[in-house]
Amino acid sequence: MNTAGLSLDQAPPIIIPVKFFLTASLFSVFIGALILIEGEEIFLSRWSPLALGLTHLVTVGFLAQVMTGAMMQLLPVLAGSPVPAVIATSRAIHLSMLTGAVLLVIGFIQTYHQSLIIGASFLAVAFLIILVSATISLYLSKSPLQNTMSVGLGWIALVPTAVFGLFLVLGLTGVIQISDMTQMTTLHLSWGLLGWVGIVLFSTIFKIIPIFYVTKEIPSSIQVWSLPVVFFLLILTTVSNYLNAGLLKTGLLFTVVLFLVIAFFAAASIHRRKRKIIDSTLLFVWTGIFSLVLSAIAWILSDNDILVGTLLLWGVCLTIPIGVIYKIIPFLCWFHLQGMQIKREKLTYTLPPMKYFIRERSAKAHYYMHMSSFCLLLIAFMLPAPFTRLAGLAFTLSSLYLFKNILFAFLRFRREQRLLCSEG
Amino acid sequence: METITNSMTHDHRRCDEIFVNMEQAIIRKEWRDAEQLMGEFVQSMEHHFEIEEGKLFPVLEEMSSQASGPVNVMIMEHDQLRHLISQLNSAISKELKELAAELSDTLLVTMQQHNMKEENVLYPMADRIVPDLSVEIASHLVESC
Repeated sequence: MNTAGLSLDQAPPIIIPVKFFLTASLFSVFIGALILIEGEEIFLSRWSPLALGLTHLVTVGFLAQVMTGAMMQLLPVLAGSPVPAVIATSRAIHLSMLTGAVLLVIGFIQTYHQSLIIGASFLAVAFLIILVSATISLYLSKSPLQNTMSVGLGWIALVPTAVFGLFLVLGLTGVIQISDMTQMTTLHLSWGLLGWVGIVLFSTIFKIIPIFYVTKEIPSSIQVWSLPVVFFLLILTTVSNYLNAGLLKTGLLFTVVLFLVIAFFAAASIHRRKRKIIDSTLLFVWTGIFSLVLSAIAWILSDNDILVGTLLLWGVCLTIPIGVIYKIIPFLCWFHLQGMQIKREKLTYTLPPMKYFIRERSAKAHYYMHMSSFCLLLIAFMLPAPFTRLAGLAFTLSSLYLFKNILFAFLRFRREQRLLCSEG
Repeated sequence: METITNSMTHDHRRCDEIFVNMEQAIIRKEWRDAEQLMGEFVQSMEHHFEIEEGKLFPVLEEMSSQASGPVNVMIMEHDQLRHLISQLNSAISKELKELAAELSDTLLVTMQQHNMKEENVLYPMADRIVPDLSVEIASHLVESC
């Protein structure tokens, strides 16, 4: 019988997710700074060293940190089983992921081959530790498969993403010969963005929206099965591509259309929520879903890779996770204090409300800063100078603000923790 | 026959409905409505806790030694929910909008994570260990509607 999910000691120390989230926000500062320094150069080509460096700053820099931090925290809640040796495991993941991302991005931007290979190797090690520890955790949990299947498949999608990525790095550095780099790049980014990011983000949205906004249950055909079908379609696309290269676009088209259906159900569920408040998380998630739809339409109707990439990376990948951070951090601060309160049997001690840790006005102010930078970047498509640099400046400031919000939440938590412990 | 999981989960949703209406009244600063809905919410929650603490949990603990740990955690969380409800009640009676909105947000999240634990772990456990209790629980719940 699995009663682990009821224990108060399941959650890892709060510093673990906070460390991942703070690092992510610093990567986000670098993204803004790079755009500010390089300006309109970023729009030259999706294959330019700068564009490749920026893309990976978003994915293995910002996204990987946020998603790992959230997973370390959500896995015990979803599966009722903690990550094994969570402190040592998370330290190893954090360090190798940080080193790997920095070296990989330097390798791309400076076209420095050794840095690319070492960076990719560090990232492979980080991803391997994540997958092994998550598998052990899920195996021990004996939780119903449907609770964890989607998020699990999302993380498994990292395997083909990383394998294609490693081949591409070896191809780029001349270690091996790859006959069709474009095709392999398409497979690498399809598994990364549609598989890993898409599946993990939407399985998280499906979990948190009903809890925080009291929505009607999303139909189980969508909630339980749609994301595994995405995974299956990606396998089919990959295999059929090697039988007939013409099938690649068709396979991806089916996957993208399925994502449009998933986005529709997520948006409809939010729209029909019983709790009619509009908070910062909802604004970030709404914007992310809307950008996803726009990028899918842009991909189907045009071949403007830079526009599709911008909508997807900026509008979805750099947006939805922030909404999740603003829900998770105040909850975690409160949850950990609550645990201490119960353990010390101080039930009448008054804890501050969750929103004390990150005030709603601060989170909303960040949303408007984030949106300003996004709008400036979209304007920069038509008027690259001076709007690209302005977008970079706005995004740097917005990211620093995110860093400040996370740090202040943690400092407020520490103060409350001290007060709770000193209370006789 | 309704299982314990079904009927207790249904009762959680009923309390959620009242909560959502109360929160809406707080946001609109309709304090008389908020106070009345708060009264209704407290009554529903207390009735729910009573069934659990007075009936379900003691029987579960008696029938299975494994149940006592999780049951204790649930009882402590009930006390904490009661404490939060009384803080919110006082903020509503003082007509403090920002504090009441922040407390209702905290209460909702705490309540939802508590409900999730009960619905995913404790009630299914009760359905396996004491399935015969389901009829009695369903009839107790009907009394409150």
